[in-house]
Amino acid sequence: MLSFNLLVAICLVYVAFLFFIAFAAERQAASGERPWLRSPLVYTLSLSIYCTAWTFYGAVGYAARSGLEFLTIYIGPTIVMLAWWGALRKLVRIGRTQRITSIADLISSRYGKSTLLGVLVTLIALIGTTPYIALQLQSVTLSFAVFTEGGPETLNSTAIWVAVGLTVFTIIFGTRKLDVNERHHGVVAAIAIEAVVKLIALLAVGIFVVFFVAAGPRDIAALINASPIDVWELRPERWMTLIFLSGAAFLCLPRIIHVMVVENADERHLATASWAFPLYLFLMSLFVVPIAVVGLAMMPLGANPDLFVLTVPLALDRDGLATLAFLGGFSSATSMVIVAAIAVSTMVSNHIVMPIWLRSVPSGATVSGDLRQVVLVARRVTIAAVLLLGYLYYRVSGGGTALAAIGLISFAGVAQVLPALLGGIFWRGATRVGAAAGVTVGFLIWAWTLFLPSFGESGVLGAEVLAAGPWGIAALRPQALFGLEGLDPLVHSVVWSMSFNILAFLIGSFLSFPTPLERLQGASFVNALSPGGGARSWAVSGAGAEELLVMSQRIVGGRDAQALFEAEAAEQGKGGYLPEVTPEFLERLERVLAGSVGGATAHAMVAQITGGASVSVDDLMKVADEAQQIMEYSARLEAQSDELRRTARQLQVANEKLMALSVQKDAFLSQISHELRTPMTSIRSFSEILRQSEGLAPEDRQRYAGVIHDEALRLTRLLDDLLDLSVLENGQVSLNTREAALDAVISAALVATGVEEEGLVVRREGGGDGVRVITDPDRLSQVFINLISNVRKYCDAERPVLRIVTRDLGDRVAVDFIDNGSGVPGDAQELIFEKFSRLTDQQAAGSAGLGLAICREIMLRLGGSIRYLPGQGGGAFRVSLPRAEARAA
Amino acid sequence: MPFLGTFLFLVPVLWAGSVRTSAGLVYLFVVWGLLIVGLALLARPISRAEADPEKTASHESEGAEEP
Repeated sequence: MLSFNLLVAICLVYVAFLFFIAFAAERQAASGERPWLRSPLVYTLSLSIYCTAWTFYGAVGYAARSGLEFLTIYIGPTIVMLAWWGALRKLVRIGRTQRITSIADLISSRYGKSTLLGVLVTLIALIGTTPYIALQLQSVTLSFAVFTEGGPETLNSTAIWVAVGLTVFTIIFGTRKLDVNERHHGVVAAIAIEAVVKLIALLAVGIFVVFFVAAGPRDIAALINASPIDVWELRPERWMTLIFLSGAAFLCLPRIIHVMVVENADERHLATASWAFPLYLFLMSLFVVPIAVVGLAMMPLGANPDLFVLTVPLALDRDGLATLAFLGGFSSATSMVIVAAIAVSTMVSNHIVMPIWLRSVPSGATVSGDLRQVVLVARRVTIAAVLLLGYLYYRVSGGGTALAAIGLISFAGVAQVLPALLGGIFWRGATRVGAAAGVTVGFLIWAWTLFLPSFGESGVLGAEVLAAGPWGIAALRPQALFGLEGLDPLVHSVVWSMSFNILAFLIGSFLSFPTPLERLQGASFVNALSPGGGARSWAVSGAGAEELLVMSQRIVGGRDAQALFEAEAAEQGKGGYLPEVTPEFLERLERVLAGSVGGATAHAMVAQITGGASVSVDDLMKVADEAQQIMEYSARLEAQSDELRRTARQLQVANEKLMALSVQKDAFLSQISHELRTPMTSIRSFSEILRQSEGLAPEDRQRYAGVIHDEALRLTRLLDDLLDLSVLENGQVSLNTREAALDAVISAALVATGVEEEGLVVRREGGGDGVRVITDPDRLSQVFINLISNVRKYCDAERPVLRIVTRDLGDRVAVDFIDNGSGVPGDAQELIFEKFSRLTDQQAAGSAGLGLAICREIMLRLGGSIRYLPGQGGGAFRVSLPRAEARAA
Repeated sequence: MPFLGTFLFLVPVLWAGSVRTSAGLVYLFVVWGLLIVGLALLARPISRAEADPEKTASHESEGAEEP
């Protein structure tokens, strides 16, 4: 029999060897060349941390008690591996592109970098991992105990020393530096070696048992048939539940995600692992049943079947083999504890410590100082705390049989993350609310129906609560929830917790609306495998490159941060260390930071500097479904072309108007120069005559001067009109609006023109004193005067008659000026209101063709109108204008 | 593959209680071995296709696993 001290010495040598391997791997990785570290074989072996001491020792015990059921624990992961192409590859791809640091980070990143979900998953992982670590400590301690006759004190001290040793190793290799990729080459190398050791150990014991203890496979078959586990008592519901659970756990266990996703160096390694890892499991379980039946046959009745792997060789005095088996178990326990502690500490530091730190330190991300220290210290403390918790759990639970079942209980706990995980990578509709609801509900039901009862009747829940439910509510009995009795407690708990979990997840997702960032992340997760760039989550912002550099330096270290910024600046074609802060750059930077402190924290830190994340509509467009995208696109095209058509039409109209205006302007200019030139010509010639002819008769001189005067008056009038028109057209005229009697205005206009004295017959109809209008009477009378004098100028009747008819048009009043002349021909009726339009050649003195244009402008300003009124048996104009509110009495 | 595997591993449920452990052991390990061989055969062309990015688009996510 080996002495205890010798065993300890062997352990120390083995651990020293592992230290050496880890150091060598770290050094090799640091020097840049790591051919064997990058091999798919190492990746596959590192996955074997799935096989813990629980499976190493426990599988045999399990087989000895329940026959083939132990295989479910290996079949689950095998089935998951069968789906590696669709599921695992996606996880690994997401892990690489999003720089995932843990399962909590994965879930939190998927659901909009939610801190809440990160904390939730971290807590579940912590609660699920602690008993598991206790289980490892127990198995190492028990295996030590096999070699010694020590009492419980020795056992406890062994457990303490194992825990301390593991803490030291984990802290040294797990938190040596804060890697931007969160890879631990030393740890991976060590667990790969340990994987080989445990496989060889189990195979060696198995071969020894089959070929040296028994006489080959036939004999083993006979032994099986003679053993208590002769008949395969398969319980279908347990068989299915256990396969499901182990598969779920393989996807959700923090340590598995850590080695499978976080430590993955090359996606192609997964292809090898897809068959090599099931093969590893196959080999690990190949000899379990033979060892169990041989142990059952040869060991005394009360022997612990969990330790057959050790006790069978020892009973046959094979110390070397027993030592190898011991090292195998030791390896299984230590590798699991190391990776689990790293994974959990990463989660705790990234999802609990950092958010609290960011919030508690004023202006968080922007202060100076090295943040890496904070993160590293947080991780080291967490590792120590996790192991301490594990140890305490081991002590409190008494290391009894209650622990043996904890493996599956732990599986069921972490499996609560599965719906959120799978939903997150396959279903874009999954939202943060749904995920949080599902995880919380599932976790609570698991705790109530499985975790708390696992402490036994003397534990947290008393015997009466277990038997009658809390406060006597039978429907809430932990092991018969809603009256579902007679089921295996594990199956019962898994069925209820998973059903409610999935239900809450679905309902929550359907009822809630994802935030833009969630949508973006959801799309980039679900579409992780499809080619094409992912979407950005940063809109252009006013963040300063310098502030970002300061922050990055504190997280990834000065050298790396500067290199990153310099490379980015160079890529943008700039010198120096400060690139333009583009959305692409922010995205890349955030990913790098996420590799160190987790997605949610990195996002929060960058957001602190850039002043909040915003997702632009274009970004959302990018992630819309393809069909939706096409629809959106064509809708946009349509809208665009509509818009273009509208614009083109508007432009055409505007162009026509401009052309017309240009023509009008030209005409106006030529008109006006013509109008100005005619009087100027006569003024010039008459003034020349006056100047040159000395002996001019006084009456001639008088006449000529009169002509000059008249022409000058005409010019003045023309200019006055022009000025008037321009003032009116520009809307600069100030109106003196008041209430006035319409008749009075007309009478004043008639008097002012003096037409009645000249022989024009004026007939006035309608109206009377009663009609009052709100207007500027001076301006209105200007319009009337103009119209009346037009009649005098242009009416070609022999005895011109003017009818002035006032009509009531409801809220308006119309005044028609109708003469008995030949009127205005139809095609000219619109033209006459234009400037300088004159229909006839009769050049009445002072007419520049501006009168009606001025009238039209005035009426426009007065809120009325002036139109030519055809079909009245002569020239007719209608002036209409708004009436005063109340008719005067 | 995942569906075939799930089915094969669930077949024993139909025999519940009527089969000896030794026979079940042989069945499970044979199925397991065949699946591993199948995976190994599939992994090779797939990883080659992976290296050749044009072919990858044709196989997309095949869905969930677990019974």
